[in-house]
Amino acid sequence: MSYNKATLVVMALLLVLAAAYGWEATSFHDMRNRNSVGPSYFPVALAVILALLCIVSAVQSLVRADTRVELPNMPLIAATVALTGVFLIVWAMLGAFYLGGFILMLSLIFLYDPVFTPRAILRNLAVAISVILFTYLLFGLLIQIRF
Amino acid sequence: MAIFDFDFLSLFQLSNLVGILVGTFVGLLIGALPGLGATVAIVLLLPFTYGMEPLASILMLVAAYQAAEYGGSISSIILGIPGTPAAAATLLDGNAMAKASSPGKALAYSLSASTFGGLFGGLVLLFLSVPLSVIALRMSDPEYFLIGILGLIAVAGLSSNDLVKSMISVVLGLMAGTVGIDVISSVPRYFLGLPELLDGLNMVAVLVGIFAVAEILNMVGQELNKVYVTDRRGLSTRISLAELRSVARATGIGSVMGSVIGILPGMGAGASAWFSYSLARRSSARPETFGTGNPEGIAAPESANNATVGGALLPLITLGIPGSASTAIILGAFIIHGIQPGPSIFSNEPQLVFGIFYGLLLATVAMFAIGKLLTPAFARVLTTPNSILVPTVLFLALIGVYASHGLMFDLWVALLFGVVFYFLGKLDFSAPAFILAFVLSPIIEESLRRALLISNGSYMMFLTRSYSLAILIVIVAVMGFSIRSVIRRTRAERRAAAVGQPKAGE
Repeated sequence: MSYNKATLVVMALLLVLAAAYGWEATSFHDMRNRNSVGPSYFPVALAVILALLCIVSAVQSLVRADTRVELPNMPLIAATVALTGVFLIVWAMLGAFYLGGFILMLSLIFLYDPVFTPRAILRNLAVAISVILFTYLLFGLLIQIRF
Repeated sequence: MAIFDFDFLSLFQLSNLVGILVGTFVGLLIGALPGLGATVAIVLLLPFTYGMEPLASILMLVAAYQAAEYGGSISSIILGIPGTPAAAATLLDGNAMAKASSPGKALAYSLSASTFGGLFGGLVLLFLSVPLSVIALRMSDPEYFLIGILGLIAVAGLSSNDLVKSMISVVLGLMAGTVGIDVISSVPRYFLGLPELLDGLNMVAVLVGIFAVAEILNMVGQELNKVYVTDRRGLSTRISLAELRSVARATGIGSVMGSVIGILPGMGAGASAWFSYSLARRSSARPETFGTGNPEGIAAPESANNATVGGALLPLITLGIPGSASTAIILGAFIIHGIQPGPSIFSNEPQLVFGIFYGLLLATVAMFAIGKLLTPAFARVLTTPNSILVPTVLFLALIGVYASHGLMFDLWVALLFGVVFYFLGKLDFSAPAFILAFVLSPIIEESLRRALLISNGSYMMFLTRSYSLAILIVIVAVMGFSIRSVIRRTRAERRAAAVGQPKAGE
């Protein structure tokens, strides 16, 4: 991925954010105290500064020599985020925290190290069970957090 | 309250001792693992401070901060991979000594220098905090606003290769800090109709997202199944008095430099370690042996990065302004307990403040004792491949976020911030600058608005008040220094590009 192109995309998104943030700020009114330094004062200033800095950075990226942004193991990163998201959904909808956590741990370990020899399977199972057991003993029993 | 009026028995309460021991253990463990530094150690412990007493919780974080700085040297020395950025300077002589003679001896130099540096930094904090707080008491909202801005500019100038993107990170952090009900007017801002955001973004969720989740995704992007091999033999950290004397000068240099640099916003342990290494080499009788296993090359950076801890806590506690991401997270622990650091804390919470000061010294002793006992075990932990480490740290980080408020919403916030900052980090946006701005945002906004309300909207008070003017001059100097550095770097890059580029026709 081109560093400069990625920068331009991010700056465009941040300009939209600055506009939305600044626009929203104009709706903040302190009914008790109508002076110039109300709740919108600081956000409006930030929106303006952000927009200016984004323009400067975008101009810099147009004149600067380009390089490549390395994003190694992107499928693994995407899978990690997706599996974590699925775990959070399962936990929120079914309340199966410990089971979900065990499956998340095991899935991630096998995802990162896809070796399926009996020894590797036993080791990975032991790691996942140990982490869940540790979580139950420390957080569930000792600190009494209800997951 | 004078510094010796403190009730020392209260420091030895079980909760405080447990906090110090847990913090030290976690700090050593996380610090020793390559890629995870002091900030991650403090972030992972922060959620558990909710259920603890204020002193015990802050001591736990301070102990983790102190221990992680030493822990980073374990992987530097044994594997040749710095556990923390601050331990990179230790690698040069530490790893060389480990390969040439004994890793245990290199670790012993590191542990003793870290302990001395930690104690020195703790004493600097103890003796300088009261005089500094007296000066701070004369300051008011305009000065607090400017000190906050000074901290942000310093961090923005030093924490990334791209100054403009660092400044954008600062603005984004300040914007994130405006979410929730405005303290002055009680107007809800940017809560998107979500009641979970009325109190603002959960600090723990944002911190864990940016420092733990983003770091975990970075680790996934690296080689996951690399198995480090360490030898458990030769890891005894024994050291003789004569050997200690041989590095006394380098340890002294590191301790003084570390404490001074720690006080300056944005510099941190990494800068102090390299400065001290360089100074120790220049003033050594045998500079040519640096890089080949000279013990002074271990003692100087290690004493410096631990002395930085005490120095960095000085502006946090006396002014209420953190100068780094690690101290910003510790400020978070204060805020969780409804305590605002600053000059008035010495009269409002004297037991807490002096408890922290003496607790830091105790935590340094604990680091020495636990380090002496468990360094071989921590060296063994380094053999854990990332394929196991990453899921474990990710799972524990998620639990930590949930433990803070018991809200699923915060977990999504942590995941979102982690993913966003993973990508922004690749484009040279600065996570430390964002975090510092996020934590300082309420202080900066409230100080600015109160100052402007008092002056009827006039900005002249920043120039007419002597303290404000002095801070403004420092801000201009720091900005000038940052801009000069950028111009120099750009010129050097252009020259390098011109040299590397073939001429037309070639």
